[in-house]
Order: sequence, then structure tokens, then C-alpha cells
Amino acid sequence: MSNRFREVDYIGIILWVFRAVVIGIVIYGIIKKIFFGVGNQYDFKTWMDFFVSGVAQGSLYALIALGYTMVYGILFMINFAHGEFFMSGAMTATVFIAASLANSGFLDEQPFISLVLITIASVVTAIGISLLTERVAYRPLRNAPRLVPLITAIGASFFWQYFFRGLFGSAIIPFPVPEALDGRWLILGYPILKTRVIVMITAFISLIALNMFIKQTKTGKAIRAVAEDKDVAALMGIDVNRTISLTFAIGAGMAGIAGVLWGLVFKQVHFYMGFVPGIKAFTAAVLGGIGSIPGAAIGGLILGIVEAVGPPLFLEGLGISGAHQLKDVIAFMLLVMILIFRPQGIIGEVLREKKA
Amino acid sequence: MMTQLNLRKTGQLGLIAGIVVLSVSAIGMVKTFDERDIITGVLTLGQLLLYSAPLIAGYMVWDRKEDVSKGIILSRGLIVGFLAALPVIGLIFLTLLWPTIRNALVNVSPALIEILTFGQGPVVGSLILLGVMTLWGVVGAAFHILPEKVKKPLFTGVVWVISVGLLSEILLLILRPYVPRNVQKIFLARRGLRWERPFSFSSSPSPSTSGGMRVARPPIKRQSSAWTIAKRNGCAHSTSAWASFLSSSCPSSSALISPKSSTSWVFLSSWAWVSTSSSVLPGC
Repeated sequence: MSNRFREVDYIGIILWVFRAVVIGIVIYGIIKKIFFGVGNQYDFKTWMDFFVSGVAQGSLYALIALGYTMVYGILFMINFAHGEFFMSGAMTATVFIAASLANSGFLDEQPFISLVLITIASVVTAIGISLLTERVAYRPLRNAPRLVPLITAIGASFFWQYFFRGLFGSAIIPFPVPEALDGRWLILGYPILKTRVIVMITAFISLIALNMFIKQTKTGKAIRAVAEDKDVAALMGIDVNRTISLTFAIGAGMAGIAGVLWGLVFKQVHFYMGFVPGIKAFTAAVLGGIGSIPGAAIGGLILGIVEAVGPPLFLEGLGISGAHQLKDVIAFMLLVMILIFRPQGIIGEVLREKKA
Repeated sequence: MMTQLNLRKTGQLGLIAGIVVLSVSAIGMVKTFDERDIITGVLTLGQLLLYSAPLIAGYMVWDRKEDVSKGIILSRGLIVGFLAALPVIGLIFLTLLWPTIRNALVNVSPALIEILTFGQGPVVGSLILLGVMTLWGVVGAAFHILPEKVKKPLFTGVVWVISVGLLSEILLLILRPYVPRNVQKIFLARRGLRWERPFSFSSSPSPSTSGGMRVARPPIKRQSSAWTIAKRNGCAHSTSAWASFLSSSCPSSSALISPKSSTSWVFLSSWAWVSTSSSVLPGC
């Protein structure tokens, strides 16, 4: 009898109870909201707005999460400076290109060309910063214990934050949005903000293009080979350092695109803008299964939708006022839950000891 | 010759140093650090930051494994220093072409340009900056040429000067109970080391120039305690005050102090020199 008690996994039981309680609370909140009408009442159009806003936000998370997941896939390190690549591109493009184009009136005359120019500036800056960080901060630590590059990444993140604070100042800088993108488009009978549509389409195209690049090109194969085994890849004639740099560059390029889209949605940039989206994107990458590109996309979308729909759906149902201010709580609670109950993420594989 | 100069690596080092200088200038570090003296009226922390990049890059131009002549090493230092100045000179001229640059780069202020051009205007100032940076590149490279007996004490001396200059405020507080105020004032100003002309009995101190800018040096207190001590010891020459102070720890080290070098930083350098190179000075 006493042996049986010893065999019981108490921690497992506690975790199961914890999971049941959390799920119970969420279901309770949803039931109260839907069937008992607790909190504000929203019509279908408003719920659609929440959903579309979530998808747009999730698309941005997905774009940023790609950088985390690709770098983790190839180096098995969490690049906490990735949020700063996103910020650097957005800030530099805003200060040097977008502001000038807006002042000259070219932004409103040629919105498409202007946005392409702004995106190119953002992508180039983000790639430059990422390559510099990889070369200076990460490459010398390639064979160091895993905690060392992790701490370095946090340091690099702070370095770039305050570097750009020194460069462009600590004030919030307005991101000029072309007049052509003001207002809404009717899509399937629902009016959706034009900027959100642009964000969703751009993110979708970028994700598809990246997936094709990784799966169908020689360079993509090289990246996958290095991610699988660096030593063997090197024996096959792949330049490992170049491939790793390329991975950083691709991830940063996606972050650069996300930076411009973020500016379009929120109409402002500042030196601290990379921190929270960076952590959220990391959450998205973990949620989808870190190391997996489709996982990052799915994780980002789920996180965005849960963040947008969750507060009005179950937090208001629980009688919590100002529920939208607690969307970060939901995001990070999701991270904790995923790490406890499904560390490999939604579509991630159970990692070998070497990768885990 | 060209192969020995290793232009690719040298050029890379120079440009990296230049980008570092440009970055620390553009993010406001040079301007902020310039408010802090290392040697009052001579060297500020901002200038030190500015010059340290070509100095370090100049030092890095030579690998011990390489077998090249001293001239080549110095030439590499020269190239590195020259290239290190170019990006920041580009910034100086960019401010002329783009007067509202501060709207974008908030720390590229007129005060920064004043520091970078030594207050001499963009053209002359840029040429001076080019010369100074090139010189620092050469100095960095020249460090390899110096004999070991000189190199180590010199390095220690410079480190001591910078450290004492930086920590002068704290040192003043620590020394207050033990060292008379007049003695402290000989080598420590409120912020940084004190730059004094050799002790003289002239009634009015004359302003002098340093780093292209006119610097009004603080008036020299004539009968300082150290001077009194020196005089009591029979040292007729003003410099002997330092020598006397120094000889308390090393009697033969007074030989190092020349009459024209009785400045506090030379004193500290010499002191460090003496303390680290006993082989140079038999009897210490």
C-alpha cells in the first residue's frame, strides 16, 4: 500500500488539477458571457472586428516569431535581441524615409512605391543589425555553454534598445500612413480597416514565400541541413557560418517587414517597441512549436486571436472590468500553460536531448 | 610593400574604428562624456572615448606572428587612424548639407560638432581631427615598437592617469582627512587631474591653448605645502617639489622628472613607471 503511494506522481496530479481549474475558469467565463450576458454586450460586427484585429496582430507576431524559430532551429538559442531587429528597422525607416516621403507629399501621391521604399529601408537596417549582432556577439560564443549566448542575447537586446534611444531619442515618433490607407474596405460584406487587410496579405505572402524558400531552394536545404547537424553539413561542403548568418538575415528581414506593418497599424514607433512584441512573438514560437516555421505562423495567429477575443469573451464573463488591459496576462498565461503541459508546442516535435 | 601593409585587414580595422567613433558620437556619448574631465583643460572623457577607437585599432594592426618592419607597422597605424576619422568627418559635412539633421539624429548637436572640430569650423576642424586621429592610430601601432621596459610602465602610467582622473572626486573625499588640502590641490582638481604649468613665481597665470581650444587654466597657488616641503628639503628648483614627493617612495626616481615636465599627469606616469620598472632604476 505504501509502495503504491510512493509511485503516485504528486507533481503530475497537481499540474492536472491546475490545468482543469484554468480550463474550468475559461469555460465558466465563456458560459457566463454567452448565456448570462455578463459584461458589455457586443453585436456580431464587433466580434468580427475583434477577430480580424486578432488575425492582423497574430500575423505580425507570426512574422516576428519566424526569426525566433529559425535561429532556435539552427543554433538552439533564444535570440532575445530579435525584437530589437524589428524595432531598428521600423525606427530607421520611419525617421529617414517615411518622414521625408510624408513631408515631400510623395507618400500620399505614390503610396505603393513609398511603402516599398520604407519596407526596403526597414529590411536592410534589420538585416544589417542582425548580421552585426551575430558576428560580434554570437559567433565567438558558438561553442560556449548554452547559458552564455542566452545571456549575451539579453545584453545585445538592451544594447540595441539604448543605442537607438541615443540615436533617435526617447520620444514616440509618428509613423505616417498614406491617405489611401485611411478608412475601410468591404470584404465579404464586413468593413475591415485597410491597414489590417494590408498587414494580413503581406504577412501571408511573406510566410508562403519563406516556406517555399526553405523547402524548395538549395539555400533552404542548406539551412535545414545545418539545423539538423552542423558537423555533417560542414562535411558536405556547406559553409556553416554563412548559412547561420543567412538564417539571421532572413529572420531579421521578416522582422523588418513586420516593423513597417506595425507602424501602419499603430501609427507610431519608439525605441522600446521591440520588447513586448518580441516576447509575444517568442510566446507564439513556443506555442506553435519552436524550431518549426509553420508552427510559428500558427502560434502567432492563435496568440493574436486569443489576445483579441479572450478578454471580451471570458474575462468580461468573469466580471473583470477593463478586461482588454489584461490581454498581456492572457498571452503570458498561455506561455506558462504551454511550457507546463505541451513544451513541444502545437505542431512541434519532441526534441532530442541535444536540441531541447 | 602593399602585401605587407595588408590593406584589407588594415582598412577593415580602420573603418570599424571609424564606425565605432561615429556611433558613440551620434548616440550622444561623446557629448555627455565631454562634461567629465580626465585632466582638467587638457583631456576629457569624451575626447578619450573619441581617440581610444583609433588608438586600439592602431594597436591591433600587428600580430606577433607577423614578420614586418617597424615602418610597415607604423604605416598600418597611420592608415587605420586616417580611415577611422573619415566617417566622423562625413558626419561633420553632413550637418552642413542637412542642417535639420537633429530632427532625425537627436544627439548630433552643434555642441558635438564643436567638440569634433575643436571649435575650428568644419574644414579646419576636420583637418585637425584627421591629423589627430591619424596620430592616435600611429601611437597605437607604435606601442608595438617600444621596448618592453618602456611599454609596460608607460601603459601602467596611462592607466593610472585615467583611473585617478576619473576617480578624482572620490579620491578627494578619501584623501581629505589624511592629506592637506593644498597638497591635494596640486594634482587633483574638482573633476579630474589638475593640469598645471611648472611652478613659477610669476604673478599672473597665462591662458594657454590645448587641443585647438583656448583653455583658461586655474591660477596656481604659489606657496603650496608640497612646495614648502621641497624648499625645506633644499630643492631650489620648482620641479623638485614633485621630485621630493616622488623620492619619498623611491629616492632615485627624481632623476626621471625633468624641469619641464612637472605636471601632475607626468608625475603619475612617472610614479607608475617607477613602481613597475625597478629594473630600469637600480636602487629602487
